[in-house]
Amino acid sequence: MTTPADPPPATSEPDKELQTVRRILGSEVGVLLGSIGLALLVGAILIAWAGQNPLEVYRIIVTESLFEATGWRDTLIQATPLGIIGIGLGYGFRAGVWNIGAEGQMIMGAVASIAIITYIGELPAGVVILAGILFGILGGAAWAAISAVLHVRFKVDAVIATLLMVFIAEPLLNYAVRQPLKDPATFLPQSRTVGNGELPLIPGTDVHIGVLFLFLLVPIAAWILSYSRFGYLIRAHGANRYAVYANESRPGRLPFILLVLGGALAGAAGYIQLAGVQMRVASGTAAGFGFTAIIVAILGRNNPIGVFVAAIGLSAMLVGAEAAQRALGLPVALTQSIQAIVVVFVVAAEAIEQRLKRREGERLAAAAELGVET
Amino acid sequence: MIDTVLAQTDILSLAFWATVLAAGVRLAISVGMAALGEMINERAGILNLGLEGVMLIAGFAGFAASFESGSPWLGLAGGFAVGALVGALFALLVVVLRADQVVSGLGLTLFGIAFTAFLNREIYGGGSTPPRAPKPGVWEIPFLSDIPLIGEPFFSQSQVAYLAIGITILLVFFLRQSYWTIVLDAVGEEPRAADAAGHSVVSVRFVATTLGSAFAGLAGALLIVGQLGFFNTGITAGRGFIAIALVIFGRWRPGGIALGALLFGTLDALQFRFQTLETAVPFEFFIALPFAVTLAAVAFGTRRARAPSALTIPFFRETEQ
Repeated sequence: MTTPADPPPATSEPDKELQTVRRILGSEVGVLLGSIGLALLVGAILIAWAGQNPLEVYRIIVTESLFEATGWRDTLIQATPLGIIGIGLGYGFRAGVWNIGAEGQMIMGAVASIAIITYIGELPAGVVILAGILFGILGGAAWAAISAVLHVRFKVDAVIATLLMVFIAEPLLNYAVRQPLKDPATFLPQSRTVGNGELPLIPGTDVHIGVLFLFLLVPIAAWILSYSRFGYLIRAHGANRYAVYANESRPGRLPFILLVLGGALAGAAGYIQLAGVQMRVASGTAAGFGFTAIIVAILGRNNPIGVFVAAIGLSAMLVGAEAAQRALGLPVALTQSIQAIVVVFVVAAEAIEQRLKRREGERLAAAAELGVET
Repeated sequence: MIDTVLAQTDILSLAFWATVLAAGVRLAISVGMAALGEMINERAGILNLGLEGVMLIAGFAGFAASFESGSPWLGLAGGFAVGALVGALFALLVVVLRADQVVSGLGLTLFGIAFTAFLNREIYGGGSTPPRAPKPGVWEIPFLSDIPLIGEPFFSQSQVAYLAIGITILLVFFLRQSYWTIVLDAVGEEPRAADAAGHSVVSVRFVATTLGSAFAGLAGALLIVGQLGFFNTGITAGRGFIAIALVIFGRWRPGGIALGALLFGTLDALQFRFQTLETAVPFEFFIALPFAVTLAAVAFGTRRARAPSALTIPFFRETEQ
């Protein structure tokens, strides 16, 4: 029997510290940060091989994207489509529904937006903006719905059903800006400008209000995932889909909804990028945002708040990389390689972590069986 | 890729179809080889969504080997070797460490696209007029190449076509009657049973993933070294994912996959041909057509096809599941 006044045994103090260190390192954030650190190290080797000073490059990336006023602005603006799409994809990934076709869904959102804006562009700005975002959402959702039907009704693997649609969306976009939506005033294959559909700036800043859409979406999406029935179904479907199906009259409904939702958000991002940044639709309008958003969702652990942080981080990397390209001629492709390396390291670290947990569980179970105190 | 002979536009003539079929065989080779590779690892229960990345990395390595040495055959061997190396690393990730196969594969593809773009820029300038490496010659088989319709497609092809067709035929026979096929399928269908029978699930999956990726690497080299002779950013243009769809279309059998690849290749060749014809249909429609048909074929043609039971499911020997 020990009394409460007894001091703790002397050995427990460093033990506790060690445990804290282990807890941080073993936590999700620790694993993530460790993996990112390793990936940056590999990136440094590649940068050095390309004949640049890695520290100088990383310094430029960080200062140009986070510590300069224009850098912050660009980081926020680029993070907006990444975050919006990433949240939708993350919902799906969490449930085990792999929508990797957001690039095409974003394209079709932008095409649908510019189509309606070209048609009703003379109306007041508020109407045009509302119609633009509505059609963006519908365009992305409709495109994703094709994949969703193929997946749910025809049992095509979601990866295949969503990705191959990207390669159909791209030629459609090229046709749209070459023929029906072409701006007759130029010789280039591009649409008219958005005109009245342009997103206004947040008063007192030079950031368009589309950024606010992300800031609104993050808490709502986080709340839905954690506290609503829909969020519960997503988490349950990811953990054990058959448990969900046992209580569902239509088992395909949730994957269908998640694919269409992902498309709707990608389409919304298509409109925001169009009306806030690009002003016109042209070939390559989605600019890889739909693919980078996959990394954003994975690194953000498919959780809206994590996705937000990942979107800011990857956006900062890209903005900084563009600055480094301007200043030093270092290709942006290198930064994209580093981002992919981060993903690979993160999954590897997660797998190792799972393995250690498994080992630990087995050790405890074996010890319990033998009646040994651990 | 685009045939220089555009004169034969009479779509009812035998010559037109012989030319289209010949181009179709050329276009089928690379995507079919990648699909055969993917089939091997999928039958062991490992999904490699990094196929596109493997094709690009190995294809670029093959191009570099071919360009620097002047020998396209060295380039093809290099593509195979680098494909195996990348496959072994991927296997380390998903077979040994049991990392999530979908995320790892997507990571590999994204890495392959960006990394080869970076390397191409650093080493070869990455401009719009890339340097060209020598291509293997054409081999016209006497007499047979004169047969109407099938002579041009099958008996008057680039030497790499015969290599690919030879490997396909070897694989068909090897997989039809081999002890190792049974082990491969057991590991992909019932890993616990395979394990109980004394086969190491991890070893079989490791070898299958490495070998599958080696063939995907060869596929990348067949396209870039054997047929194009130059490299450009993202030059595989989704063929890795078409290959994954073809595995499903071919129901995880080499014969079905070869047939699917031929269908896809012919469609792709027709698409190039139709683009040059003056039709009312916009040419972008034809560019999208092979992807749409592949999707439709997977949706309608394979409703009863069944993937290996243990596909994407990691195997843990030590615990009951």
